[in-house]
Amino acid sequence: MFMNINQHKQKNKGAAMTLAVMFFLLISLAIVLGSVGPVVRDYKNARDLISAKESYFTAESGIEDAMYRIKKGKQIGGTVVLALNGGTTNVAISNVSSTEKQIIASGNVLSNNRNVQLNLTTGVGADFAYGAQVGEGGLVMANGSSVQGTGGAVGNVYSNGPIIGSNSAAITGSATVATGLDLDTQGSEVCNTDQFVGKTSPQIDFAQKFSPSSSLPLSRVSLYIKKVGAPSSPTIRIVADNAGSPATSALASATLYAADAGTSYSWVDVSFSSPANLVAGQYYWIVFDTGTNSSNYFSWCSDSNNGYGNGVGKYKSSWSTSGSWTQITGDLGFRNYLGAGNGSIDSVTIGGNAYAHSITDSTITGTAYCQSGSGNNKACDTSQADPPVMNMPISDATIAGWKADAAAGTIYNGNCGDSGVAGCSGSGTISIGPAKITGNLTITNGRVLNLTGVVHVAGDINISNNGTVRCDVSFGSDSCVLIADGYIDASNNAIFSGSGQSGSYILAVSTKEGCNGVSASGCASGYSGINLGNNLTGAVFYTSASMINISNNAAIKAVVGYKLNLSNNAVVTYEQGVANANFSSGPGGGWNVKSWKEVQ
Amino acid sequence: MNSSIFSRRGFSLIEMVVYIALLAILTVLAVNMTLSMTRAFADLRVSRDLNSSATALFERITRDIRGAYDVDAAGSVLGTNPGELLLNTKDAGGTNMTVEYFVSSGAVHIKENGLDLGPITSASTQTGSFVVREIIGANSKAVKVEVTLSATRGDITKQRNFYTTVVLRGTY
Repeated sequence: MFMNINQHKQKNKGAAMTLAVMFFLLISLAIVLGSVGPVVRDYKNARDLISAKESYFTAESGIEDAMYRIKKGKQIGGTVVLALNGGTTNVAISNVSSTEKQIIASGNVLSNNRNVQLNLTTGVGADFAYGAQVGEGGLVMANGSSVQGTGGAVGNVYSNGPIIGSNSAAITGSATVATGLDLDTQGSEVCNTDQFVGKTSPQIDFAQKFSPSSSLPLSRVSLYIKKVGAPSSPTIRIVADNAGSPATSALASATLYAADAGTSYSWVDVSFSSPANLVAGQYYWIVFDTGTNSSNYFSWCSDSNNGYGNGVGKYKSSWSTSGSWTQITGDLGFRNYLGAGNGSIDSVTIGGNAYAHSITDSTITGTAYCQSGSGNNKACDTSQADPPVMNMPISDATIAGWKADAAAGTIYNGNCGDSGVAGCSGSGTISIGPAKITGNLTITNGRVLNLTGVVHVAGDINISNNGTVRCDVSFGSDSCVLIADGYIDASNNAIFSGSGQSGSYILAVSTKEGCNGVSASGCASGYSGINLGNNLTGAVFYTSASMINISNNAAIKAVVGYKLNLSNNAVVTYEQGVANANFSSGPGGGWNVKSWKEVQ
Repeated sequence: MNSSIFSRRGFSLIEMVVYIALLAILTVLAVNMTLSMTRAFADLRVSRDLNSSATALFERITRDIRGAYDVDAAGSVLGTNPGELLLNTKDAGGTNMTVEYFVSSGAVHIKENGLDLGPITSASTQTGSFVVREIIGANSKAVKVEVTLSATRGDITKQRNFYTTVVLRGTY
């Protein structure tokens, strides 16, 4: 009995302790559960936030990979799926146009999706609207040479200098000769100080005073400028002087195409379709009329020492409003081209219309628009004014951009092709590009040079004896570019061809200067910058500062030169597609970001 | 019988002292624990206030800066506190618009096209400092944002610094 009572008592004591423990346990549980709820919610929020960020940067990774591959000419398909750090990114690449690609990358991390879109642009749609476009050097046609059209196109010629033909020289389309030009001695070419145009107010509209040396139309001005960012195309106006500042109405105006300006200083031409007729000794102003944008603007180089005595530089927020101009220290870089000579056509058979100041001894199927003429089959139609000067279709800045793209690729130190350096030689097909060759390029004896990107040759280019230069198939309908600092000489069945698709051409550019048919050193045959002959086919040839000599049955797509010499049955066969040719640095370069943003 | 009388006798003094002491210790422990839990909970909520304010502000400002094509330096207050950031950007349709961030009565507010949309940081936090710096590179621009936020609940006050640097994608 004693034992039983004792045991019972012990049980009672134990119940109190259990109750106490239960009591504290419940309180603890309540507190813990109360805190756990918000903590878990916070954790979930934080995890979603991190996943969303991971998803965004995974998409960015996909974009950057695709952009790198496109810029560097690496292999990439239309869609790519990348797995990265537990997430995936779906990259879709599509062509918006021949000059624009769109990349959309969709990142996915733990079902958190974010999309990034990048648009890339490339290329320069150079406007080869004529079978032959000739600079101030003019066009000389002899011995049955012709400029023809094919595939529905007519072979038009536009020349800033005279066209001189003979011996049944023919142009099947229209021939236009602009009124000739001379560089005025009045100009400022020293560059030592930047003047930012349109970056900040009120330095928006800049003007340079000048005084022409002769009373002639001002057909063209050239400004020494560069661009920062991507400014829109400004308007250049010629304005009279009003008490030492520009007047508020323009005598002539034209658009300066922003694409013609590079990121380093160069002379950018602006031609006026209705030039202002200047009077020698009077004062005028070149007004650079633009808007304001702190990241996209121009820089107009000036000479802080006031080297040009007959003018000053000034700026104002808006040229056409009243108010005073502020003078800068120095002169802004400019050149004036005065229409000194008159355009002329002599001894050519023209299938379309002829436009020139004077036309002599020619046979014209269409209308002869001229101010004076003699020995023609038609009388002059004087209803139209002399044609204005036309700029070269490719600017120096564009060519400089192509050279930069080439230099970013492979560099071959030495010659290429015949007896070329390693990687750029061999008896079969040589594939290079983007690439720069520091020596000469020689392709002969049936060798093939396949351009996979823009190629810049610091020396000369010689293509002959069935040598072929062509664009790689990866160019598709785009055209490829071959540039020489020296001359280009192609003959003996040299073959130039595009990628094989229609619309693809090869553009051969020589930046050689001073080879204009008179005795000079370092020129191709006939003292030319580009010499083409002996059954050559294909290609668009371009040189802005030298002569192109075409002879011996050469048949080429289109030609642009400072001076053009056609002889011995040479034929320029202009194709419709050349006008729309899109010259890119190729699949291997030249793509730049147009826009980059997150999308839904 | 003897044992039954013994069991109803009550507690001895020593027993009482031991029980009371035990109870007192347990009560002190319980109260102390409750208090510290309450403090920890308040601490947690203050941290949450700070984090949610900062998250809302930085998510929005990062997105806006990334989408902008320019910083309007004349309309912004750069490099000092309280700063102002006026961004030139484009809306979804590609139309130009402005977005402005500025400090008003301790909160960061947003203006779109000059219209005040109200504060983006919560009322439970105070903006101690809001500094915006512009970084100008050769090809693009970036903005650095430095924010100090503080929050108070009861006697708990916390202050934290937040930083971010974002490239303006619109400048490409």
